[in-house]
Amino acid sequence: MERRKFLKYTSATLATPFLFQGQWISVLASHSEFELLSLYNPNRKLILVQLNGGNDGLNMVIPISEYDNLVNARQNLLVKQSKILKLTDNTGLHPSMPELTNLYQQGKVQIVQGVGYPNPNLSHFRSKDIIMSGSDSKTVVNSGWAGRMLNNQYPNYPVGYPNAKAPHPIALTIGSASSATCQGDLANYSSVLTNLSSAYSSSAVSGTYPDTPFGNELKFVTNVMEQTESYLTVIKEAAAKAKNLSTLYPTAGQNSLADQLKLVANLIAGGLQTQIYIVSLGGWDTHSGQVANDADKLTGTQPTLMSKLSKAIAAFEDDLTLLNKADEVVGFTFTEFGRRIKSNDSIGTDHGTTWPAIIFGSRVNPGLVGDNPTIPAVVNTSDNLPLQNDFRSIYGSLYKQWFEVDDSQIVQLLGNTFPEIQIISKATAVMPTFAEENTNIKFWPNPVKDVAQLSFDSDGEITQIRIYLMTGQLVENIVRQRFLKGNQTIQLQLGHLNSGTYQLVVQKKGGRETVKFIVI
Amino acid sequence: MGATTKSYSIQPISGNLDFNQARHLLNRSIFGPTKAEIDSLVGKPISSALETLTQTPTAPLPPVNYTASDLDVPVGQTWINAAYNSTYNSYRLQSLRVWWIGLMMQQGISLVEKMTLFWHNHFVTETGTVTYATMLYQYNQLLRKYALGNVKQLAYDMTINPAMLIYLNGESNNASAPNENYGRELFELFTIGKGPLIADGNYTNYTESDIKAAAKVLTGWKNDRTNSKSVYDTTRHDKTTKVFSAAFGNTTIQNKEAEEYKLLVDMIFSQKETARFLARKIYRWFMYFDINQTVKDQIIEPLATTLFNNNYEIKPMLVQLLSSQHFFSSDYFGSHIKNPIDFTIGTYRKCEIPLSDNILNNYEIWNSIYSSCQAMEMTLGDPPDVAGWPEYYKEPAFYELWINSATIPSRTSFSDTLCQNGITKNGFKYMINPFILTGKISDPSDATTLINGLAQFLLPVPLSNEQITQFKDVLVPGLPDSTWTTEWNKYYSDQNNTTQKSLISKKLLALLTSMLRMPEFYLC
Repeated sequence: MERRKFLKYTSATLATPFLFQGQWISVLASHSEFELLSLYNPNRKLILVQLNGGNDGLNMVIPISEYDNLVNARQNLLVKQSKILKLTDNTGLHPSMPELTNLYQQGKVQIVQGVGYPNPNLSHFRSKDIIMSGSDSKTVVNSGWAGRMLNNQYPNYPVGYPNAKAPHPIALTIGSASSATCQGDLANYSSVLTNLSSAYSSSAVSGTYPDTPFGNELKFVTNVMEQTESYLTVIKEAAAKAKNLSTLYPTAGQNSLADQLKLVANLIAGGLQTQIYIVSLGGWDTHSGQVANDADKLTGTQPTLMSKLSKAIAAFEDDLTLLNKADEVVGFTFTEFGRRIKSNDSIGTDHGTTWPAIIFGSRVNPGLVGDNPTIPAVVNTSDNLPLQNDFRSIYGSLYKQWFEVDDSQIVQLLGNTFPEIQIISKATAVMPTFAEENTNIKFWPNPVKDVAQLSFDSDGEITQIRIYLMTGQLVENIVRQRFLKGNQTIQLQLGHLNSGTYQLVVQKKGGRETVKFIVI
Repeated sequence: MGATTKSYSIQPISGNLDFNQARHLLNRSIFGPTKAEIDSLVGKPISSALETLTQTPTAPLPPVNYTASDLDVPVGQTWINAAYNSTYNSYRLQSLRVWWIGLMMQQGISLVEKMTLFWHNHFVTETGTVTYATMLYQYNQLLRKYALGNVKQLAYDMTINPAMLIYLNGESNNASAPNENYGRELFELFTIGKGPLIADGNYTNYTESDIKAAAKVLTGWKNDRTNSKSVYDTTRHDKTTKVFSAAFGNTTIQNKEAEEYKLLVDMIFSQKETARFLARKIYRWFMYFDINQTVKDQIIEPLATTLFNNNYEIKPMLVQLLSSQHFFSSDYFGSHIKNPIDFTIGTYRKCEIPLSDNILNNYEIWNSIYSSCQAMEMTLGDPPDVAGWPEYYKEPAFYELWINSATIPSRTSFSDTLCQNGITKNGFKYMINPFILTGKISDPSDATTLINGLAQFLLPVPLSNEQITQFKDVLVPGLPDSTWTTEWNKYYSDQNNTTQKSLISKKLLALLTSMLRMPEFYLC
């Protein structure tokens, strides 16, 4: 990284290297408000869809090529082959998921096969813990995989939050308690929202309080708590600014996941800047009665859940499209484990190993990642699906491609490197389109062969300078640091770049400025 | 049982205490009763419970110095006899307050601590004004000595208490230049209280001229600051005959030198209105702030009579209030907003947070509790002014004043910390050990039993089914209750499995975090 060192010595900066939690973090001046701006796309949102209980993914994403052997293993819950909704000739979705199939055909779904981890743990609590902390099976880690990323970005949270610069919840769990995925070192980064009417569960049911001294005081305390919850105020303001537009949402109360995603879409459309949302759907722990005890096996516990999942995601995507927010949102499902290949006599399945992750959004690189699992002709009760993709590959790839976290930080966050999966489509532009005309940044000479000068106005805050291809692909991080307020000039070594046209982006707190340049 | 939802009867309840009643009694009598403490009163008649509560414990050992920076006092020894030193005084003040918090935290089933705090809020002094640590210690000793004793005697001693003489300018009150400060507050705040203003300077219960006369009675006292004692100086005393108004039957007080102030106290306490004033204050401290006409007639009046007829011994009145059917009306369970001391110390006690074997660590944590209470607008030893904390007198909000958009985050971050990361002092971590609490529950493997078991002693009212469901969602999200049973039993059958133990612990702490954030937890 010689370029960076070179720049440190030539321009007047306030930067000093900084040791935080044993890691050298990008140069950052000491300041009373530490705010690394690693999420330079504040418009990008990630939706974590937690399937509680351990989803029998083998019955959701069905390897048609293995159908005959599947019959041997689990005939009492397997649907007829003709009913499977084809994604490709070899792989299809359970018939309860036509909406998701449709979305796949629109190019908005990626399915990663065989997701899991080495030395799988088949206990609900422990495996969930592993998945949510992003750790090894043998190591107990108390922070969440998203929490660690947020920890780097907001190290002082919750002290001083919310504040004028960060008034929105950093992460938001729709449910009863903060998601463990967002646990940081000092605090959990996720706020909690049950529904829009209240953030506090008091014994009073929907605002009715007994007319007693106790009732009076309970009402008083609850009211002040609600007013105080400033995140709640901000959330309600955002909710009030927009309305859901999709007609595909089921009636409220019929599909809890759809209700949650509907709320999330409302908040995103209303301008809530929260970047991580966690929603959940439970009931996947189908030890028995996984499907109806009839000839078709099309209905029952898991098909009902799969239908809910399918409808919820489809309605959500439809809504985001109508709200013009689809390009900003990516979501993915996770569960604590898959289930046993061989079904049991109660028309159910026991705890297993790997599962398929469903990743959805208009920016997603569509298709199937990984192969159909091979199902042996004779399956024992102890046989389990093989590992193809470590679940941390998904986290690492999202860190990198969606949140643009540096590789070195990714290693720190996950404790290791994991193979990258192209989750986000390379073809889509990763930058919002900003008008190029600006009089504040100057780049010369242009075209450039070797060395160029860049002059820009610093607002005294952290500035990040990067170079992109015209397709939007990131080529290089030049620098991210706090410059002194005022006009700054830095020198850029560009001789190593291939000839072509590039965009240089100067990202400041106050906004972006770009300039096109040509390398000859 | 004698318990109803709303009764205005001063008659005692009959029968033996059930769990809800025992919890209510202790929630109001001590800070954060534990489940065991509540259980110890279940099945007992109220008289027996109150006998325990009103026993006066032996006086505690004095505070000790715990910093090497106080060069006059070895670490671990008391500073109360050391000469005043302006540099070391601040360490001694710190020692005094952590000592006090420590006593409150380590209290047993005794009304002494709540009553000591009551008297501090009644016969107010402010540390910031008095400053002398030794004098403030003596002041605390005095409150403690008569916490469950004779109010008149307390008033005698308080009148010539060194800290009070500084605070309300008793020291500067002399014959040639009387200072009315103490005299005024004695009438208005400490004893009889103002009545309606019926004429210029006439507050029904006393007049401005009474204040002037009282000031004269009180002349002659000053402090020997070196020895932390008050001394009487006859040359400073007004030896004229002091004449009081018709409110006191036109009593006159002749010169009686160092004993004269007692006559003033006797005069005021001979008015039953003094007993009523004190009864109202005790009522608001233990019961509820709203004193309507029915309460005045059926509760306050008999309490005042009891106090008066017992020559101002406080115990009989306390017993009468705390055994009454009115007190045990279930409409009032949970109607009291916990003050910050009750909230902070109560949480430590109720959740049985272990203390360190090293007293120095404990001093540090007690000091942090002092700071937490300060953030919650209750600075121990320093009420905002001589009227005490407004939450106990300011109409119409009263204790609702404890709760606002600044103090709530202080409270939630306090409880969150004790449930999540804890506070570490020199390697010892203060935080909730959830297994101590589950050990008190009959069958923690059952999710409903666990949740209800915790709620039963943490909260003043039972949980609704909706709330139980929400807590199950914290414990086993999207999973059947049987999952909790499986996971708990896995831990229980092999408690050496640290991974499983850590998982169960995390779940329990998440549950406790939610419970302590409920509005119900702010009530007792």
